[in-house]
Amino acid sequence: MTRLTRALLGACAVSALAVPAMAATTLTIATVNNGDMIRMQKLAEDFTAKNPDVTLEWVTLEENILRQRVTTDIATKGGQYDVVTIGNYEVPIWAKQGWLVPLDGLPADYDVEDLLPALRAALSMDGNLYAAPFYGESAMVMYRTDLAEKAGVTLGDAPTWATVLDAARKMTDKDAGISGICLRGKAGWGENMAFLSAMANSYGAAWFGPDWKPQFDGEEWKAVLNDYVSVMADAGPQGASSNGFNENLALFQQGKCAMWIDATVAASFVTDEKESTVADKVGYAQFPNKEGVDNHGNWLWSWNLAIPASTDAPDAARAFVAWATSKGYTNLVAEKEGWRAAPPGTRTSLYENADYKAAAPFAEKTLAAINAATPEKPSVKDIPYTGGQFVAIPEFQAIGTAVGQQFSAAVAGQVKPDQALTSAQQLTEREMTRAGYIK
Amino acid sequence: MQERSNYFRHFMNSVVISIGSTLLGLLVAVPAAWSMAFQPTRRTKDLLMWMLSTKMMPAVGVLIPIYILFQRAGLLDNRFGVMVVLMLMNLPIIVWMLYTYFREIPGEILEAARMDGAGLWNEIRHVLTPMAVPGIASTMLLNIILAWNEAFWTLNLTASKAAPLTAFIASYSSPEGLFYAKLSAASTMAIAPILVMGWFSQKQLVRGLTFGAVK
Repeated sequence: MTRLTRALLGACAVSALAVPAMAATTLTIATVNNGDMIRMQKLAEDFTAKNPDVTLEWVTLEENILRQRVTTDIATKGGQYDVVTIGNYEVPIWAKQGWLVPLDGLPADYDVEDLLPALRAALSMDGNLYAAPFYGESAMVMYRTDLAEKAGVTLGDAPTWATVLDAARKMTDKDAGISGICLRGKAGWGENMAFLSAMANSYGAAWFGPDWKPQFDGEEWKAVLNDYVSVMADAGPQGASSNGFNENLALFQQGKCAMWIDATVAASFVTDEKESTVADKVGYAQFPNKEGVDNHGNWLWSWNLAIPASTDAPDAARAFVAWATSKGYTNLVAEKEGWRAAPPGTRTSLYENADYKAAAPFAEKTLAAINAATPEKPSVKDIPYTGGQFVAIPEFQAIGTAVGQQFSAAVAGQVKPDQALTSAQQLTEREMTRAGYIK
Repeated sequence: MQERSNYFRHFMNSVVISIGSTLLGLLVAVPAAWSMAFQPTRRTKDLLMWMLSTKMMPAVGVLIPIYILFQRAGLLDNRFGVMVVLMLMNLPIIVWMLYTYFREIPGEILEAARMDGAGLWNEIRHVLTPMAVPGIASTMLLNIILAWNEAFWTLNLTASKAAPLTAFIASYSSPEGLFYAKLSAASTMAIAPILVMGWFSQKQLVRGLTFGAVK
């Protein structure tokens, strides 16, 4: 072998060894399709510019498909994703299973202390943060100030259910095609049951007693469902049993709803002058409570970025999560698209920012709603679970949807509220017994 | 739209997966349908019914086992893996359609070929296939359409590299926010290629579907 051949072979061997060390890391990011996440995808060039050795692949899916897809992958340790977008419902359950990497070692300027306390608590287990919040939301009342004035009703900052239900009936103008109130009716644990679970919390009801026995046979749930069904019949839109967030949003934006109680994120849509015909006529109030019950529903939801334990690039994934949920990212969004577009509901500093408060008139109400949530004790009763508009147990998705179908049928007039509650009690008790909660 | 999603990658994945799964399916189904049509046994009818009955099983029931198998075989987010699954999903329909077409061909013609010294391969290749071209073509077209529109397996077994147009559409649907314009544009772009293909091949499709019927 000549010296030249040896030299060439040596060079090849060195190159072969060097290539893996310099090879780019590819991060596959699974995310939900909503405005804030799509914006993140658009602005991710900032991250890749700062981390030129990292390439990003995006998998953007609708919420339910994403949940099914990511759950399958993470439970089987498929390892297809390096960063996943999950809700605060999944975080404690998955962290307990050991499916998520704890987010320790975040950069010093990340400022974990700046995260809203309620969210930080919901995303932590044993003092470790398992997901970083990208945006957070609670629920509140959005109403038409002009119609309230016309009907002579005043909701105030923190109305009771009696005030809200009365106002809904008074603001209804069927001749003009205006429904007094729009509420979720579509069956699903994240649809009507998100709203009804929060409403139940604010009525002093609970999903389960201390021994995990379902509580649908109690007086509180009876009051919840009767009030909900009757106000939907008197003041709700037609076909309310199939309305979810999007349908109610469309009705409100078109001026067909006098009042809408839903996620705080809706405030930015109903005040968007390009899309809403009532953008300058919207007032806000806290999620109602029943007289004498110190509980405003405890609705708390956040979309969070987490790192599956099956990832083969935890360091790059951690760097991405830190970038996307940092104060720097919020500033980047504000710089590129204005403060109104900043991802809401995750950091205290955002709500101390005068520019943001000026751009988002709903900011203070959103913060108040999020801060009012106590996910570690969502009901005033003695309960064995955490959550809020959901119960943080793996079985809740199936049980919540089955109960939601009963309640949706009650809104559609197919069954009486009492029948729906009896069925809900039976099916929940059966599933909880099967799952081993009820001995 | 191209700024947010790589349409052409999704499009190419759809083309490769739907055509690939169809060709793989035909490779298995033509001999299977031949044997059932021309060499039936007492159990052929039962076998056909069993094949059809597999279509009645909810796909989600076998998702986890198949997912784990794919993960171990390194076939997740892989076009060949999706091709194999779609081929298996559509195989009963391909076999049934081809079986029906083959039965319309008189067995005597094949017997004559055999008497002239044709072996099995030559019989299928030079006698049966040319006579059943309209049937095979329409089966192929129908299978391409089925594979193009399949959303459950393509969404569950792919992430980014092998994701076809079904994943492209799914990325524009949102439960929080009204993005109908983008969703409509994405849907149009996803169905346009198959619509154009259907338009150009409608003559063959109709001919194939009515093949053997009293005309």
